[in-house]
Amino acid sequence: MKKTKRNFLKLITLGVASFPFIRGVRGNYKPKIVIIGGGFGGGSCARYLERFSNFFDILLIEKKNTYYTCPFSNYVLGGFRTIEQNIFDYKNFALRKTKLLNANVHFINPEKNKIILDNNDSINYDWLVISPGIDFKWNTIEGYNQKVNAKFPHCWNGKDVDILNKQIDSLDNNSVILISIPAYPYRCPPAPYERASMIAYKLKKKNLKYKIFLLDNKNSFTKQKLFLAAWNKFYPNCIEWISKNNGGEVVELNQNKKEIYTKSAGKFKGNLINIIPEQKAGQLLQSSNLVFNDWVEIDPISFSHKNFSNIHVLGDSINAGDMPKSAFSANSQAKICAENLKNKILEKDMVNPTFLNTCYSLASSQHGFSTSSWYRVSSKNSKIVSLGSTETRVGMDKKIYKEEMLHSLGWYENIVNEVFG
Amino acid sequence: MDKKISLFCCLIIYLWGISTHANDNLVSITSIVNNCSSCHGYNNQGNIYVPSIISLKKKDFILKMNMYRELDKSTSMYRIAKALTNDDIINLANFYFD
Repeated sequence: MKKTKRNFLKLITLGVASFPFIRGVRGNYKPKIVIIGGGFGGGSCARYLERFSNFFDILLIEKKNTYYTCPFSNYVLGGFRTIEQNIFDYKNFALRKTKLLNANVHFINPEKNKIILDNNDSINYDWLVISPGIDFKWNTIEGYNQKVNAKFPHCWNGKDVDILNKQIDSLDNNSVILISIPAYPYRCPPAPYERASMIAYKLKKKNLKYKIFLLDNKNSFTKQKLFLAAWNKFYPNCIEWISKNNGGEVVELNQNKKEIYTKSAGKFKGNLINIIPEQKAGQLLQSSNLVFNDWVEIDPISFSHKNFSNIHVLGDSINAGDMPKSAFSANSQAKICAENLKNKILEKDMVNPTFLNTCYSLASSQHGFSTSSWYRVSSKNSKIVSLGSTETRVGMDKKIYKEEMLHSLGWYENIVNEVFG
Repeated sequence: MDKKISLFCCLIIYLWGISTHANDNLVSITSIVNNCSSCHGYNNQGNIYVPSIISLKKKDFILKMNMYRELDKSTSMYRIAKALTNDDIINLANFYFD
């Protein structure tokens, strides 16, 4: 009997301790939500949580003072957009209802609801949202690692694209450009092909002869027919895509000879080599032991971590089922995360999520196209599933592609305003 | 006693389940609306490239959404709208304009 009573008390104690809603609104206490990462995921989440800031305090921790957007970074390579146009700061967050802390998070202790900063200061949270973007897997290609990347920068972020831009500007006539493309999943699936298009656009404008080889670790890619048709139209015989089945997977880099060795398509020598590495969840998530098999597993309704219900993760670092890793996806996930986190804290029913991703790409300054998909949560609430994607059609009048390009400008202006405005 | 404890624990687990899973009856109109603002702006105000939603009248909104759904044009909004049902469009109109 005593044992049963003890077990009963233990059960109750455990049950109460694991109930997140005790962290809800109680009396004068305002729960504290901390968001780590102020990109399209974390920044959007802050903006939508602010709508309910009467009920909780919001703190955004962001290591950078300025944010260079990945969307539209390829257009800098095309020469029709400056990198300065892609830079945003965080001053509006503080003017709104999100407190801002400019600091780098060293470690998260999920058991103690504690964040440790680089300077060893600690911050407690009731609820945590993490959206740190991606990190890279090194040493998957022989001769290529983090150190070598300094000489051959991948530029798979908004800022370093300027380095690649300068490399492109230094190319002479008859240059060969090699781009190594990773297997899925990686940030922004069509971006390597848009990158090739933008490099071709700039070199064509300069009346230079060139050849771009896309050495791919997969056998198909998003908007493939649209890209291939555009390359054939604007840059005939100048861009060659070599799939994994055709031996395109890059296995070795010889940095001194500026040569790349593929699985079975032979050796390539390049004047410019751009290796986009394989990717994984952001470093902070890994060092805090919140990652399974490179990515974070979440509940797709609330975005809570599988093991810690008061930690929410969104954006590029999660396994988002059918959703690609993109700014649009992160923004869409952030709004659901904010809505259902609010519902959790206020002990309301959660909403069934509907997600959207629309991804625009340019093949020239006036030729754009997109892919769109709606997403829901699977019947077992286990993952995010696509309801089917659609693309701009191939072979349309050029007005259609110009209209898509203009829509991309409209989307960008509004989404950055939503996050940073 | 053991049975009572088991029943109590089952009740706790049941209530826990209710509190942490989405209510299937709740139409996620909020989540559809939030997706619109990614392109149309935080206040759905639009800009020179993407039309405003809030400057429309309710009946014009419904007409436009049906036009997007029915016309065979392959730019983004025409494709996005095709996934919406009649109910979705009415619910969106009610949300924006009532």
